[in-house]
Amino acid sequence: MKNILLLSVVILMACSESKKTISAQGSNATQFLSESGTDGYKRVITQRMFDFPADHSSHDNYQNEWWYFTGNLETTEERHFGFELTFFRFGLDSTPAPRQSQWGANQVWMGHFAVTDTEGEKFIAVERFSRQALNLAGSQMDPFRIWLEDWSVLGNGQNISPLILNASSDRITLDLTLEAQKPPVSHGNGGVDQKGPEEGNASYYYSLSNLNATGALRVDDTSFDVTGLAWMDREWGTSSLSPDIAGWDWFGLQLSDGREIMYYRLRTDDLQSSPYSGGSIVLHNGGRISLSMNDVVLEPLEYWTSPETSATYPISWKMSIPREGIELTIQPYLNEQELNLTVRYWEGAVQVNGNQAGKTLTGNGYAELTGY
Amino acid sequence: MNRLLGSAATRFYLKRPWQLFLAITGISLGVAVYVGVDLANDSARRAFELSASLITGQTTHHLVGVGGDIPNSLYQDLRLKHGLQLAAPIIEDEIRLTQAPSREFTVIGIDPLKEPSFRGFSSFVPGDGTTLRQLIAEPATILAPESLMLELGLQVGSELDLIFENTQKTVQIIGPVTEISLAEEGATTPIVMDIATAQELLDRKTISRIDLILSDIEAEKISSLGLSGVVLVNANDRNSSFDELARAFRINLTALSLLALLVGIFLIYATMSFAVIQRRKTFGVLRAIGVSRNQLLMGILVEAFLIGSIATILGLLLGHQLAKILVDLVLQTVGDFYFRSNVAAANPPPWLYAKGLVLGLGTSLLAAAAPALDAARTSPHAAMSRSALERSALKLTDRAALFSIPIMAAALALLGLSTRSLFVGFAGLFFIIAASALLVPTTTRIFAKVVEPIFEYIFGIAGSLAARGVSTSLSRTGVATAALSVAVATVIGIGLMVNSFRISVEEWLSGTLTADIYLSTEADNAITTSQIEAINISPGVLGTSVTRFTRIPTEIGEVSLRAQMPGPQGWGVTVNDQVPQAIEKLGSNQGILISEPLAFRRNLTPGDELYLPTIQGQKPFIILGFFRDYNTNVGTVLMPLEMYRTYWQDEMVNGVGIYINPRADRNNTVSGIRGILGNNSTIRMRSNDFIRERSLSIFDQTFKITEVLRILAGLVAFLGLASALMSIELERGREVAVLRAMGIAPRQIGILTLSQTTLLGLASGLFAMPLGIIMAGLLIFVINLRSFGWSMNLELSSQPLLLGLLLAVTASILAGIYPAMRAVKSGVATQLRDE
Repeated sequence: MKNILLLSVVILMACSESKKTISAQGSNATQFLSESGTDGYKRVITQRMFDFPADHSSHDNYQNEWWYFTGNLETTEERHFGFELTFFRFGLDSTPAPRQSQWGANQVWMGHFAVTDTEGEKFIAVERFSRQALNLAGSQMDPFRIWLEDWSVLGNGQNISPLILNASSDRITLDLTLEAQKPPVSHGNGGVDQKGPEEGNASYYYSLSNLNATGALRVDDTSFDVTGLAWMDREWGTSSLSPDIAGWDWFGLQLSDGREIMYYRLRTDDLQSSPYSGGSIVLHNGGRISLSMNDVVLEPLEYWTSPETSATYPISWKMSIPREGIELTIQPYLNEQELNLTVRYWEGAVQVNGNQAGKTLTGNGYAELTGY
Repeated sequence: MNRLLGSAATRFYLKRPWQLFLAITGISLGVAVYVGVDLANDSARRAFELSASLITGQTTHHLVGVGGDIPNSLYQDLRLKHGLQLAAPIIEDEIRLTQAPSREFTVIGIDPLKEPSFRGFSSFVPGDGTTLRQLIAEPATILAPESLMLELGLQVGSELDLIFENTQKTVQIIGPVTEISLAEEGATTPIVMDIATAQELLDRKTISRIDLILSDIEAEKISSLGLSGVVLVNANDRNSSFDELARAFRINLTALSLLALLVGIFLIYATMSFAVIQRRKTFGVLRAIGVSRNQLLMGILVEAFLIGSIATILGLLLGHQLAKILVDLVLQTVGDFYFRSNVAAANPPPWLYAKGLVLGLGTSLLAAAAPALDAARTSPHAAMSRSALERSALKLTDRAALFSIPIMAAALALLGLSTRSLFVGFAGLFFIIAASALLVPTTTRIFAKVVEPIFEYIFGIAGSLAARGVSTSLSRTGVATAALSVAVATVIGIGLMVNSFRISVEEWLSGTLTADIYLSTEADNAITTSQIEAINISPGVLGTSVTRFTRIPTEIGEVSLRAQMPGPQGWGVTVNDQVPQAIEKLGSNQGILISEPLAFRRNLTPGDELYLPTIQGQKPFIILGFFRDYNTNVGTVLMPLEMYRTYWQDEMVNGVGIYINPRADRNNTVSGIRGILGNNSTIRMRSNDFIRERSLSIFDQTFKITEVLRILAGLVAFLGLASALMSIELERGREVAVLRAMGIAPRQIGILTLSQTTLLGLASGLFAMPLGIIMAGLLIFVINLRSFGWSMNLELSSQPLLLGLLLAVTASILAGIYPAMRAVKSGVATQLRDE
């Protein structure tokens, strides 16, 4: 689910005046969605049997799309790191005019790259934009590749696994190889993740919820060999969100017993959960248990106010799934994991403790908090 | 007691309203001239600066092509291979609009997604997603400056016809370029479009440059990449060549502004000091009836303050109006020749008016203070005696003359010691003129003595009296005469300088334009080698010179490169005489010649090495000598074409000079050449005469503003001085009455008055001639050399000299007519009783 709002807002606001204005407007993101030129793009209405490897690559007849990687890593000395690397595609016009110039583009890409250094108490986040022209950004099938300038995700031929992630900026570098331990899992109803009552207000959504990660990362002048567990989210669609949605809280949790939980809560303006909130429990064998709003109870335990933006986020949570007897406490590795970029949000590495019917559960994951 | 002083002054002016009027006029004009020129100057300066910063923004470096544009692939490599983040591709060019065909507009092609870190293009691109999407995705969409839309009555959605290289293309305005605060301050925003749209509309496949924001370490890293075909230029360097261009134009204005200041000071001083001096006798009486020295002094200063304030305020208003006219002219010239439409009027900062206020009030007070102190110091009896005043005035003029010698010596020493500083140049100019002005009263006296017999011969006793009267009335006329001299010298000096410059440019054009016909093109490979060969053997053609013009970025800023294969009549350069065999050595590929401005600016001498970015990296070239170049302020390097081709691997030709046999039929020859070139619209064919005339008309256009300023300054000074002299002559009622009582005929009195002012005018006009020549010399050999590096000869043309003399004499005759008429009419008894 998650970033549909984010994306549209980002693109719309990419060149707006200052971060302050954007942050202020970011929380009121829906007003910009209504401006996005969705005319002529296909909408997500019918169920879809995902067709791999083709569906890993881009779907240009839908307006927007993203590849979202997060993960928790550690060194052999158990020093913990978190990372986020995302690629967004945004279509500008469903019937593009032919262009003579090599710069002519009908797709715009955005990338976010962040590293959490828990021990060093550092959180570093950067973003970039590029048009899809002159080979500066794009996606391809064979070999599978998504790239935004020198940030890239490279598959194994047409196959998505093993995947090589490369990203670098002034202060952080990431080189990881990811190997899928489970097949892709479709969320929602047959891959259709409905976001509101309107037809087409939905996206196709699947995840690779359990990716073994090995590689290296650099924070400032120090490099670390790391291993861990990563997660990939894939969504595409042509969607505008219901006007009463204020933001969302998304969780991707990887439990030590080999299961994963994805759950997002869409928040309305009056801080209620939208009935279109939902998620999945991914079983050991890749099977899925669907979660609806009524299955999950989320309760904020602790708040943190960003010294930089003065925004207050609920960073620690109690998540209960009574039907499964699951009780979890979700706590951030570092409070300060706010991405104060063109669009401001909190996305960070979290650790999970709890139990299921008296049996202890632990794990790691990522949480995304927007609209605060 | 203060009331008494006040009423004495009030009564004085009530009885002589024209005195008050003339005093206020004189001071106002002095302030107006200074403020007007100063405001125009400042406006030009800020317009330049803003235009530069609007385009460049936060950029620290530019990557620019060694031989013109940059291929798209270079930008691609920077991003994909070198991971450079703060980089923005830019296309910049000039276009015209069918809706406003006379002006050129800057268009800038950007990647809006890369702009936010740069020049705050965020404000160029409104925070509206639809506009951004359209700008990138839809061809032929642009953002137009708000002011332009307002001017042409356009709205978002309107169409606009761009003309580029004779093709017309219709674009749609999809949004305004918000002209934030910058516009108010005076720069015009460019037309903004997506980089793809820019390539399509401007019909190109390359980009103009890449703007970068780099730390020093990153900059070194980029330099060490050894990217071929491009050079990393510091944005400040590039800006500074931009600045230098602007600065160059402003030098003339600054010189004028300084001279306006001088004229203003003298004018105000003459007016105010006269207003005080003429009441010396009244002051004696006041002192005699018990007014203390301090009371008297204060009283006079209060009066000076009141008159000075009123006059200064009027002067500021007048100056503001004058500035409006001047600013328009300045910006028009600047816009036409330097920056196209990137310049718009700027609101002047208040402190410029404050400077005018200080000048007006300060000088008024100072001018009143000297005679007031004198009146307060001397005994009441002496104060009432005119002879005492004139005796001390005489002493004062002699002292002033003596004092001028060390000032002049100091100024010359300063100029000799610092041979490069422009500031010192201006200081020297200012002091030499000021010191010369101090000499004026003395030289006027000497002049009057010399011409006395002549005047006596022509006008009889009236003439003799007039000549003698000049020496005995110096207290009243000295400063006004000096002011007239300085004003006239300014008119002469600038006139001579512009004339000399024009003659030098004409000579330079003759030396440069040796061929009969010139072909030029900006298109790549428009002129081929085989075409040149064919032209060479075409009937009537004696030979050709082949040139490649390009701009190359160097460590010392961007320079023009002229790579040439000389024609039958040589290289077409005027080489500085001091360097022997420079041309021969150039011919044998031993090195390069550089233009004088480049040599002066970078302090280069023959034998030095200049590093230029070649295809093989930075290479040293030996400087063989200098050549004159008024063509560009950037600086030019001249090298043999062969050398250029070796180092730059560039076979392109964009200039061919064709020498025609004078006995051949020119029309046939030309049509033969046309036949060889075919129907290629990108090649321009122009005759020697056309280029010469066009160049001179550009020159004249550039100096039109100087000319207008000169005439305006002269006119205002002229009016002011005529009024100062007039008020002096009008105060001579008693003298006139005495003469009449002695039996001198009214007609003769008229002649006396008129011939006396004429004599003053003649004296100051004659003195202004050498002073004007000195000023021209300083402008040419000090100011112009130091600001542009241009060398030229001082040509003593008679027209400016005679014009100056005429101006001085006319001012003085005009000043004399009304007092002379009055003198003729006034009754003896009334005048004497009045006294």
